[in-house]
Amino acid sequence: MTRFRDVSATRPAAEQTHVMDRLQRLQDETLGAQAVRNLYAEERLSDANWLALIAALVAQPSMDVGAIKLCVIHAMRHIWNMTPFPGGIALGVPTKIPYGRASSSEAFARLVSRSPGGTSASTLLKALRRQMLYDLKALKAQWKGRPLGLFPMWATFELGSADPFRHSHTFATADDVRACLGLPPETGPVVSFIYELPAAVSPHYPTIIEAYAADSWNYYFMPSNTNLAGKTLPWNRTPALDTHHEVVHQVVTADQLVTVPKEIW
Amino acid sequence: MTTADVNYASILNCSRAQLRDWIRDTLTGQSLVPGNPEIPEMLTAELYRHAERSARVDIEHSVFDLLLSYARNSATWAEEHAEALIRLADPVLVGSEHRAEAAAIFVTLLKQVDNVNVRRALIQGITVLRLRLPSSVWLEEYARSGDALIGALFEALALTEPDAFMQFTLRVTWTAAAVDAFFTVINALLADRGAYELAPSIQRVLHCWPSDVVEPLVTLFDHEGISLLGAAMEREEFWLFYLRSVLQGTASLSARDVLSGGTDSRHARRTFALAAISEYSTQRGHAAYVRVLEQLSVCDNVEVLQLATTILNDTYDGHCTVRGEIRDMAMSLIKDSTGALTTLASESSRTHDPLRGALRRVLLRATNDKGCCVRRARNTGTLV
Repeated sequence: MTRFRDVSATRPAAEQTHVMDRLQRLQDETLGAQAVRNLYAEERLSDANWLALIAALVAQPSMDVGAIKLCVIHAMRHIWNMTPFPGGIALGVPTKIPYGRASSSEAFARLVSRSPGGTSASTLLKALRRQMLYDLKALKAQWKGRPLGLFPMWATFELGSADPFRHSHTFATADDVRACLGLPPETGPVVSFIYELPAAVSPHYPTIIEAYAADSWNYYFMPSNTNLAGKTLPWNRTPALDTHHEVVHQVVTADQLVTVPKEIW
Repeated sequence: MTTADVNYASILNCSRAQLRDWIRDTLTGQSLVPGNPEIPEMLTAELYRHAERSARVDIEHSVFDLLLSYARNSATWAEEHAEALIRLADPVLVGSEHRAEAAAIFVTLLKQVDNVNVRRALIQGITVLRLRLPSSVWLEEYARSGDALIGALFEALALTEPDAFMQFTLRVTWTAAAVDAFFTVINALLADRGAYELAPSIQRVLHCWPSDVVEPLVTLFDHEGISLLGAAMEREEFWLFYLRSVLQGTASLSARDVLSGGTDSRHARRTFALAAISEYSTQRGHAAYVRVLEQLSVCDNVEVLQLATTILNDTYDGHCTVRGEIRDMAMSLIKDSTGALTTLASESSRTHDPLRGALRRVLLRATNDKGCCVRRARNTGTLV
C-alpha cells in the first residue's frame, strides 16, 4: 500500500504537472480541497489503484472543475470495479457486534423508494413513522428484505458496547447525530438503525474510493489513520466532537436489525 | 455554520438560468457543493425548503425546465441523473403551477422509457402529483414490467382504488419486495383512512394471501384494536367463504385458523355443514367429504361431535339429503372421538328421538373397540 505522492513521483514530469494542475483546480473549492487533502492522506490503496486514478486525470483535458470532479468519480468507480473494498477487511473489528447507521429520515425514504418494493418517499415516510411503533418482530415481518442502505453501506460501532452510537456528547437532536457522525448538513429528523452483520459480510476500511465514487460528495470524510477501522469526521463544533469508528460493508437488510429503528428530531 | 454548510442564500440570489444550471450540476455530479452521496436530489430538495415563496417559484420553474429538456431529448441525460430529476417532483412540483403538466409529461415518458429505475420514478412521480389513472393502466404496466415496479404499482393502485389494489394483490408474486411494499401501502392507508374503513376490503381477500402477509397483518390490526380474523369470522358470509377456500385448497389460512375464528360460529358451522353437504355431495363426492370432515377434526372433539350430530339430526329430520357414506363418516367421527363420547351421550339425552336413535346405533357399533367408554356412558345413566 502506497501514497498518491509516491506513485505520482514515478510518472513522467509532464504527467505529474497535468495531474497537479487539475488537483489544484479542485482545491479552489472547499469540497474539492477536502477531497484532495484526503487523496494525499490515503494510505490503503495499491499502486495499481493510484495509477488508474492518475491515468484518468492525465486523460482529462478540461480544467473545468465540474469536469475534473466527474473524471475523479468515474476513476473511483473504475477502481472499485477493479478492486472492490480496496481498503481491505478491518480484521480487528468483530463481525458479531452491533453496528449502527444513521440517515436523514427523508434520505432513507428516498433510498428505499429506489428499490423494487419502493413507493414514493412521502408514502414511505408516512408508513415508516407508524411501523417504528411496532415491536422488532412485527417490524421485521413488514420490512422483509428491505435494504438499510446503498452499496456500499457505511456503519459505526463501539467495541464493548451494545450501543454503536455511544458518545460522550448528547444525541438529543437530529443535528447532534449528524454532527457526530459527519452526515451531510440536512434538515429534518434522522433515523438510526442498529443491526448485526450476516456471516458472509465483513467490515472493511473505508477509503477515498468509497467516499468519492458517488455523484454527490459528502464533505465529512477522512481516510483511516488507525489500525482498527476508519474514523468519522465530525462537524466543526465547540467543544470539538469525538470521532466515531467507521467501516464499510455490503448492503444488509432489515432482517439484520437488532432493535427497532429510532427517529430523532 | 459548519465548514461545509451550503450557502443557500447565495444560490437563491442567482438568476433563474443560473439556478437551473446549479440544479442540473448537482444532479449530474458536476457540482462542488457538498451533498448526500446516496441521494443526489436531496440538495435541491433542501434548497427548496430553505427558500421563500418567490424563490420557490424560481426553483419550480427551473426543475420544470429541466424536465422539459429531458422530455424533448432524453438521450442527453444519463438514466441515473434523469431518475434523480424526476424524483424532484416531490417536493418541488407537488404544489407548483406545473403540477398537471409535469404529471402529463411523466405519463408520456412512461410509454417511451425502457429503463426500469426511471420508470419506477415516473410512476411514483405520477402518484405524488396526484394524477389518478384508471387501474387498467397499472395492470398493463405490471404485465410489462413485472415485479421490479411492484411498490410503485401497489401505491398507484391503492391511492386510486383501494379495492382494485386488494384485487391486484391476488395476481402478484409475493416476493420480499412485494411484502415490504404491501405493508408500506397498508400503513399509509391506515394513517389516511383508519383501520375500520380498511378492514372490510382486506377481509374479502385475506384468505388468498400467503401466511407471511396474513400473520403480520393480523398483528398489525391487533395493534389497531381490530381482530382481523375474528372480525371476518363474525360475518357468516366471510366465515363460509374462508372455510370453502380452505376445503378447496385455495386459501393460505389453515382450517384451524378458520374453525377457531368467530365468536358465534355454531350457527355458521351448521350452515356450513348443510351447504357443504349439498355442494360437495353433488360436485366432489365422497373424497371431498372425507377431507371436509378431516379438516373439521382439527376442532376439539366436542365441536366435531356437535357438527356430526347436526348432520345426523338433519338427516333424520329430512332437512338434508346426504348419501349413506357421508352419514357413516359422521358416525365414524363420533365413534373415534372417545374423549367426548360421554359428553355427547349426556347431550343426547336432551335431544329429540331421531338423533337419539342414531346415536344409539353409533354407540352400538362402537361397542367393540370403545367398550369402556360406552360402559362409562351407560353407568352414568345418560344412555337408555
